Amino acid sequence: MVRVNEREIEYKKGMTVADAIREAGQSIDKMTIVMVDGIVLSLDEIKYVIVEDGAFIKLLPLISGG
Amino acid sequence: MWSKLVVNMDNLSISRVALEEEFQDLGGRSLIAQYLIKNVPPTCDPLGEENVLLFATGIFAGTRFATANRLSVGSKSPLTGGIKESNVGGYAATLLAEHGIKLITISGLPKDDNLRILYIDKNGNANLLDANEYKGINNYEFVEKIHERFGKDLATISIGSAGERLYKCSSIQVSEYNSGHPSRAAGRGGLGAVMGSKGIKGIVIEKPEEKYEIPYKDKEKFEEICLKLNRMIAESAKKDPFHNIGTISTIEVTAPNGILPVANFSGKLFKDYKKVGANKFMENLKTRGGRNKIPCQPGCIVQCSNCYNDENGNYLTSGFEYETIAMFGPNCLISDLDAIAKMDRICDDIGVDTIETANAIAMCMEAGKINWSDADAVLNLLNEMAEGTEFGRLLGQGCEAVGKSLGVERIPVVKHQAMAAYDPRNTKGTGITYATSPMGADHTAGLTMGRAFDDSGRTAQAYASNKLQVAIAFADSMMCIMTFANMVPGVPLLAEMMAALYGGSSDFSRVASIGVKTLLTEREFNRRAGMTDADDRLPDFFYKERSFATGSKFDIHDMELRTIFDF
Repeated sequence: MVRVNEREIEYKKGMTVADAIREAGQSIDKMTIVMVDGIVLSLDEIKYVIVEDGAFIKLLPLISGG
Repeated sequence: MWSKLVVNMDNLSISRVALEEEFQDLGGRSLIAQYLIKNVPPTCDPLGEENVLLFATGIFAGTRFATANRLSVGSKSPLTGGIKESNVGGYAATLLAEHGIKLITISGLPKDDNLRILYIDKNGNANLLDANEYKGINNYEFVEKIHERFGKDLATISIGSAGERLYKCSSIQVSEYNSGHPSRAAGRGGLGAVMGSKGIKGIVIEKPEEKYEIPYKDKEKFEEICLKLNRMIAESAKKDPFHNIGTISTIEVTAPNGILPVANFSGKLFKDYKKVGANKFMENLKTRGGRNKIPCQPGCIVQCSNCYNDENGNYLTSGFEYETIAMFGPNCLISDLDAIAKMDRICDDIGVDTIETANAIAMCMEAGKINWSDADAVLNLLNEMAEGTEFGRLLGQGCEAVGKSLGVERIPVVKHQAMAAYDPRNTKGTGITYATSPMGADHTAGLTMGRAFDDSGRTAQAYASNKLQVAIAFADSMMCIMTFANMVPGVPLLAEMMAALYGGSSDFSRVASIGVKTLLTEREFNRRAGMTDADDRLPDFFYKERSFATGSKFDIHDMELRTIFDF
């Protein structure tokens, strides 16, 4: 299983972070911060980083500046 | 009724009176705007006897609404020459509200060179105490000595040596809830210098023995709406990067999109941004015993603050934020997070605004006085500010003064105040806010870099800035803007909550008009102070130089800037 925010999806060997997000029916844009098991990945990195079984992907939309 | 503490430094008198009826249902920024325009001559010397320094709690102060106890500090600014409201978290406003005090006014100038503390004891009695023993010491030592003398069940509002020296970039530091660290800054506009000019080293507020009973019109209704809004904020905060990481997470979006300022707003990208980014920050917290998710004030749900330790696991700083990291980091080409944390600590300690100071340092780099990327040289310059050397005092006058003195042409200021960590060419609505806000180049006045706005083009950017400036003007009167960002769908309920607290209309126009009236009042103050349309403009280089990251220039016409507040 892979968790994307509150949604759980089936783990598939070789799936990327972007695949998992798509599979979970979630959308992201340039204001979204993607965190996989506590590590922030850039929007480029999510295209090729492979997800491990049991991963927790958090999609954190930046709603303001700090 | 809410009360007002009136402190007159001319004759060292203090009186506590009922707050005027017209101000009872105002708070924070809105209260400051209305009070200043009625009581301070806009052309006065900011460090002279006619200026008044204000501390105001918010519209919902003392209630259980999340971040209701934010503190607004206001005055005519020595840096911008216009009106200034700078708001801050920390513990002080909570205790002021528990004493039933909505406003402190400090007017006049003392006839001697003595320093004093305004001390509010647990019974609400206020006195001016001799503070000459604290002369020249900085904020961390000051708080330590106050704790030794009076105990820890209190909050402090203080200035460091920078405020005593009347630096135009000096801040007012407020102690953080729980830790007591003086790490929360009312940073912008040099209000620490106003406090210094009045000979007030600090305000110490004891926790009251008896809490002020808020006169709700309909307490049950208020609690019902308040609970609904707090739940909404809590639910939204679960996905807020500021809650999960901290405000440093902003860099993960600004850096790849050309919004992060690099090498004095050169428009270039900073390839090493991850060295000062979210992962490095979180790793350092984890391995050194630091923490995130810290509320800087009681009742905060977003909890974007943090405690950052050095490499030996010892406390170094807290409230270590994106703005500080971006401006001392990439904008000075520095990628050493620990060095930046040391800079933050020094700034909090001596009491200077990190945004203004880091921009002033970037001027030194642009002029070749010190090298880009040289963190040790930056620390040396900050120590010069602490010691009050001739050049340290120049740095204390802010970015524009330093830039002009060193012959720099690219000086990123509006209304004499340095820009925050957003390149206006790639978030043009924010550029419009920088240009037109009565506060000067202030990102908190209306940052349009968000999901609702397309920052790649210029369409509707003036509209976005206008709406956000209004929204922030009322939000600054009620709560922290980090909370506001998490409750936008519930904004209409704010009017209902006001009606349940104060009576009167529950129509949203009541809240919206607070925002509009505040902005127009602030602009009128500035107009009377001598500001014109020419002050509502970005520096020329943003119109001429393209961002390397996107090819974009700041192409918003002056006509669009002039009409932004034609409501």
